[in-house]
Amino acid sequence: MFFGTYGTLIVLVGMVVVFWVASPSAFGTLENFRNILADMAPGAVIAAGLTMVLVAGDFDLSVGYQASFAGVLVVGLLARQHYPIPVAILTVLGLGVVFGIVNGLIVTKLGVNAFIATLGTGTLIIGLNYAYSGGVPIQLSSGRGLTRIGLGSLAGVPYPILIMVGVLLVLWVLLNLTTLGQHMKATGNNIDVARRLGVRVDGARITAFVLAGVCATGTGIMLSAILGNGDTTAGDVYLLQSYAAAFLGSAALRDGEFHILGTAVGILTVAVGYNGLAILGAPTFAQYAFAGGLLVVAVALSTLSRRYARD
Amino acid sequence: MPATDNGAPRTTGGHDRATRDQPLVRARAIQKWFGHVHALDDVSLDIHEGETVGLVGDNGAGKSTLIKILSGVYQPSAGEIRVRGERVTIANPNAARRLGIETVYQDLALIDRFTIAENFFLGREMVSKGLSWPIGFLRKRAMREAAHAALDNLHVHVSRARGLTVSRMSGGQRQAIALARGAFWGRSLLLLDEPTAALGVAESREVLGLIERMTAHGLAMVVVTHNLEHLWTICSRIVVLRRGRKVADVLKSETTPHEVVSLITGASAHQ
Repeated sequence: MFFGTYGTLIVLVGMVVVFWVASPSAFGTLENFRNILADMAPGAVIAAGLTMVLVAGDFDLSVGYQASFAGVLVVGLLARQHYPIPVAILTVLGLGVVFGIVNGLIVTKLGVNAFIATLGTGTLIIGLNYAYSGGVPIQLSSGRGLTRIGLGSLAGVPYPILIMVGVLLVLWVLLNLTTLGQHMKATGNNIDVARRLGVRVDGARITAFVLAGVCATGTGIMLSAILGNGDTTAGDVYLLQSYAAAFLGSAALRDGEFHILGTAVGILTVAVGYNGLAILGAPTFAQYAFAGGLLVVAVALSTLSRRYARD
Repeated sequence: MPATDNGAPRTTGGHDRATRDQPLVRARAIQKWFGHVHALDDVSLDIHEGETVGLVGDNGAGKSTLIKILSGVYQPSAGEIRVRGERVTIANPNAARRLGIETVYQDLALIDRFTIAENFFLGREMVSKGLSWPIGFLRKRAMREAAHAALDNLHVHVSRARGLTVSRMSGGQRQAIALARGAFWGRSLLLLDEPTAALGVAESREVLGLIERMTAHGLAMVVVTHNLEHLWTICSRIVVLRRGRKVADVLKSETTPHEVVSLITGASAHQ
């Protein structure tokens, strides 16, 4: 019970204490905490979208590749096709909707296991990425205004943080206050019972994939806006990170259940870890070890908390 | 007592009342084939207002096929169903629900991580006016109050702690919640599939008491059970199926458990 509800919070507080003690002058400053929040924004958006899929009982392994392709594509549309910025952004988000629908249809109507299906579509999206970019980053030679989304701020709060808060809020409301959210939870808990009680389970699952697609492509756009160019692999690392965050989140406050607030706590935990390691000057291998180790710890905590929830 | 193994259904009671008032649900000459298997052969059944009908028979006799036809899971190969005199097609479970026919499944069809109220209203949530699927805003308090009122109405006593999920409740409590949900939505007919099969003695007694209160509220029910003692406690009429055919349809007062066992197994009835 205790670990199921507080496991992740203990990990988070533990890391903050360790880093603070190790490097009080660099880690424990207001400026650094604002950096942590700004750094976690793109990851929070994609992880929140993924959380909807997990709540509905599926997996989506394509989100990281969707983000990478979206990042390249938005820069390409601006630099090569000279689209106006809002049109480029909406086009790419629309592509996220298409990816989500395709994933959802393959999983629900064809009945392909979500793990395999999205591994397949994700790989296909890597192919699309190469077809479009040739594997070479695209420079943001025109449409530089995009970087204002990444670097600008409102009343001292960076835009990425505002976008993150907005996305988390919208998805929290969807999941907790609406029939759609209720039907996603029911589908994820027991799809057979949900179907018998008249829940449109396919609709709930497809909608979850669409939300994940929009969030993933949104993250890709945010990354390009922050980096100022279209890196072909910028989104890839967010796949692992999103799963770590979602599983950490399921062991925060709610006994192994995926939920938006938990995922936000999970992403914060991941961000604090990376930030602290960077400040301590940890070598690259340590960052990989941390990322992989954290995913295992996250799933272990989640499994434990679900086991205790049954008693 | 007449022998009943001559192929003609032994019928009393039901027909007299059928001429007097229109049955709530009338199934006529239902046939069901699964490939070459004749699961139901010319089965007719009338269910009247406020009546609790026990549906018995050995495994494979066709009980659950008949229940699934009434609940919209299967379509009959031939025959007709009328609800309050209207000819109906029950194309799926949602269509059955719209007709006021509710099913309490053997597995109870509860979502473990949902509260009582969430389980009551899953698929039929109360939402704020102006918005519908997919983003109807849930009226959580109204649903909670309605669910708890329904439990009070049937004297079901379970903890209503806010946020308490049904996964933390006992088998008897979960059964009571599933029954109360069925009674809440079942305007016409409630189909119960083995309501006491998974329960201990004390819990079974509680659930039987609840079913009797539901009968007292005027709810019509069809109960599938293997337990003759429970059958005798809650049912007013007994329908026996054997190998897809209806072999008896008798008032409880006009038969004995011994005769019912003989009808189920096909052995001739002894006096």
